[in-house]
Amino acid sequence: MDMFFHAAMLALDPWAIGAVGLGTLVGLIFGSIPGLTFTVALALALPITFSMDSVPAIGLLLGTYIGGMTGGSVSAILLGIPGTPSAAATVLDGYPMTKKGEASIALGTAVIASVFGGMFSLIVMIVSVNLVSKLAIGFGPAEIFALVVFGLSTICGLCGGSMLKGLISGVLGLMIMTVGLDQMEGVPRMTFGSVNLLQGVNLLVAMIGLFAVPFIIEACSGHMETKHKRMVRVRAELPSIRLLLGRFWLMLRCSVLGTGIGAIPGTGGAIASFLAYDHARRTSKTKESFGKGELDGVIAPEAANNAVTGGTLIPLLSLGIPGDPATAIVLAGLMIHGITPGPALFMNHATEVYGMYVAVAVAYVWVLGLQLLGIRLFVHVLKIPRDLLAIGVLVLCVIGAWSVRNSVFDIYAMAAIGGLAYLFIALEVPITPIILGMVLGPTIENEFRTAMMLSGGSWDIIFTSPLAMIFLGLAALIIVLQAISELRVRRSNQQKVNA
Amino acid sequence: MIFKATMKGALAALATVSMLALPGGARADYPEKPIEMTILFGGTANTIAQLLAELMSQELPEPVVPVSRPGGGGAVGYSHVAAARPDGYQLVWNSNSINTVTHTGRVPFDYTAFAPIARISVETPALGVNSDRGWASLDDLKAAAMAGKPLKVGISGKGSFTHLVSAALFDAMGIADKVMYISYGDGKAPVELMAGRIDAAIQWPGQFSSYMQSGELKVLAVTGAERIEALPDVPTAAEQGVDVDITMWRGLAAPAGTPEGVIAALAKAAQAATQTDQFKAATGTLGFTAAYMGPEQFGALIKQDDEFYGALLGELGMGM
Amino acid sequence: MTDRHKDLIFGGLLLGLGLTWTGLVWSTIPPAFDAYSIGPRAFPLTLGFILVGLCMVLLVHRAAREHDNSGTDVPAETDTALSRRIMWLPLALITVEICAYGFLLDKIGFLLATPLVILAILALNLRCGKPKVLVGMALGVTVGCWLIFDKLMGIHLASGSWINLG
Repeated sequence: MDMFFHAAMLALDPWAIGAVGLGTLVGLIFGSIPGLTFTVALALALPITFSMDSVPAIGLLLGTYIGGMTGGSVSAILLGIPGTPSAAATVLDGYPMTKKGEASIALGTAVIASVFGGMFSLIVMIVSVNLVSKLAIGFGPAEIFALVVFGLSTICGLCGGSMLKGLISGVLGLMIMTVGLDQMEGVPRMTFGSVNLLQGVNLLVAMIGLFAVPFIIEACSGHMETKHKRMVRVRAELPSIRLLLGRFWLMLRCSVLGTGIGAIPGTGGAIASFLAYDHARRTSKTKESFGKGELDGVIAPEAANNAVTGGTLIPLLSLGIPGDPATAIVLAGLMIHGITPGPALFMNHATEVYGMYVAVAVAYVWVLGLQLLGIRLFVHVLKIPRDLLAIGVLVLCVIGAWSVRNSVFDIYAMAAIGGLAYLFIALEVPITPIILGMVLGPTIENEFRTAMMLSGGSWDIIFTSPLAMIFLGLAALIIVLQAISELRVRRSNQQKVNA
Repeated sequence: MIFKATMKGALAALATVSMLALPGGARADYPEKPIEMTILFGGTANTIAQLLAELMSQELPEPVVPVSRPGGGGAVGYSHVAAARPDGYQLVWNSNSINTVTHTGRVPFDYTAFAPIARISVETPALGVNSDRGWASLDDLKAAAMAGKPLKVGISGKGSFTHLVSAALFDAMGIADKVMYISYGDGKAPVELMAGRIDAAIQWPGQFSSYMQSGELKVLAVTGAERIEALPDVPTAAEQGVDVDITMWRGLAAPAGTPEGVIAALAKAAQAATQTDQFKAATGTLGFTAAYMGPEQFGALIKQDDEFYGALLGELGMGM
Repeated sequence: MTDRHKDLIFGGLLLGLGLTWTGLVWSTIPPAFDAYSIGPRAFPLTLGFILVGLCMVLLVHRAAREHDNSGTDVPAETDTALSRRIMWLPLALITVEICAYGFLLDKIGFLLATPLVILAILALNLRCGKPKVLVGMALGVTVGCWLIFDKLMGIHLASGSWINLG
């Protein structure tokens, strides 16, 4: 306990609180600007921490990480362009809410759900880090493969009207990610001898293209003088307490889900938020309102993707495994301050670990304060004429796509994927499955191949694992349920027409 | 006064214009603008590079800006720098990967496309196993491999550095045909070892240290010629009668044709950076050894390694 | 163009893509090296087959409904309510402009490429003739981004290889 107080003193030092606050602010800014992502923010923050003391340094990085994860929802809700892949599910209902003029309610709810999810996962992490990390070790390649298949099965629920077209676009997402150098065998795939294609399509770049470019094309498709259309009327109104209390259980369930998924090495925020969205839709009494601005559809992914932050720190700290590029940078920050993650971390660096717990809590307090203030400012973005806004978005997206890998190839890829996405939207093909396929594709392939290598080519490694079979069973269940409900909708439509 | 200031401004503008108009013209002082350092990989490689850039910026009048250009096992970044103007403003944070990208045919050039500046650091791979297996030395491992099922060895991917080191080590031990390589994509090997899904893995010492302290993993050998500071009790493979000596060096290079004066200035800054306390502290926490080496020796080392990796990749059927 | 036509065109194009993909994967990616691994080709190849299969089902399904009233189709929901008419000109313009932006970034750097591209969009897409808006946007966005990102945040913005304004 003494140690905890000592750590709390370190972490609650004004400098440390300031460092966390600065990180949170930078993370929020990067997360909320379309095109820029918090991975870039973390990469920038890392060198600054070199010369800092360990607790404020890690506080800065954690603040950036948490701020970025939360900020991703801002542009997702306001412009329909997710700031991080984890916020892609938030677009589905958050953006329609903006169109209905409820942007500030969606934003406010998103922040509160995020903070709830984050704090929940922090508590789980503090209480059960050892237990959870033991369980996480049980997730080998076969189990992770099955879990990701389960995540992929939520594509069925994202297809809007046509399951067939949704599946096609999901498969396209999976295909795009196979281009480039295959890590496992060191073989180039579909690169046509080009060095630039060796690096493959970057997920963040593709995400920017998918969501931002159609927005830009649509906004820049008319004469400026003739239609100075603004999006909607703007109100800065926050959600009421009653609205939130009524959704407490949903928030809690999604937080549990997010924490659990975050704790499994090699998964991450996107899969958690899509599973949570699917869960919310499936358990909702008003299924048909999803996709048209349902508040539950904002709460679920936001609670889940922030719950991932605490969850993902479990394997990071106890096993030294970063869940995604962003946490990999947090890991580098820990290493350079001599805090080597792994089983011995809690023996050697208990003070720093407790300091981190406090820093995460402080970061969420900052997030809450900054965002509730920020919402009042953010919504004014909607007052900017849409065509001029689109030009700004375009420049930001190009800066963002460039900053990921400093490669022109990424800009071309963004343009190509964006043009394609525009066509898909015009042809009424849902594009969310593409991003889901892209997020999960590499994991699904690599884990499957590793599993098969481990077993010497035998499928038994999957069929004899109870965990893997449970997840595959759940995936099958989702697909069957979806097929049934689609048939039912079709039949009732048929009847309407006949009647 | 105002006239003077205007004149000054006009002269400066003129000077800038003439500079733009005459790229590659005679330059009095190097450097006169920020220097880009291309980084090819994430993880430790990236962290060391960012630290080095920071420290070199303090030695030079202009900052060194680390710019990440990952992908293709280094092919993307090497291609970018190889095609850049040889004026000393485009550097690459290179490593043995220059030899592997060449010999796997991912780039149409080899190490001669670059002028070596300085070797900065060396990392020594280590072979870890699960403590429960009860193996205390490479001989125990060999005996187990000869007696039972083939060893499952975790690697990052075919043709990756961990694969090459593993292959060289098991080849020298005479059990190359008793090994099954399992590709993991990235550094999950310690956990997979701990869970018992694989038998052995080559990784960087930093990734094993926490698990060694908790007693869950045991490191049987390091593959360099000498023991390393981070793991003083772990014998080298050579001490155990296995003839291998592989380490990963990292350093700086510029496009071939960069003026010697520029190379010398950069090498001097790099050397000074490696001697700072901050850099020395990082060697301990990140698990590498500071190993400055000047341009000429460094060039000879790269040449020697090129033959070695060319031959090794050829043996593994991955060479061109 | 009815929904059915759209689906037929979409399905047809992607069927072509799927077949090309499958062919290229088969001919350019080597199969597994060892007996115990499934190799780099299996996954993209399977995806190719799945895509071809799905597209065929879509085509057959839609073609079979030739005489149906298109009203029986389930009304599809789109991710965003963009207008359903494809606006080819803006699509082509923006795609080309972004590519040109990328190319120029590499050659003349952020500070020169950005105002050029902004001017191009304002003039070509929006037919804007007001000098105030043109100059204001081009300079405002460029300088604003440069100050915030390059100077304040320290993001490395592209510096050109032909002309470098630093």
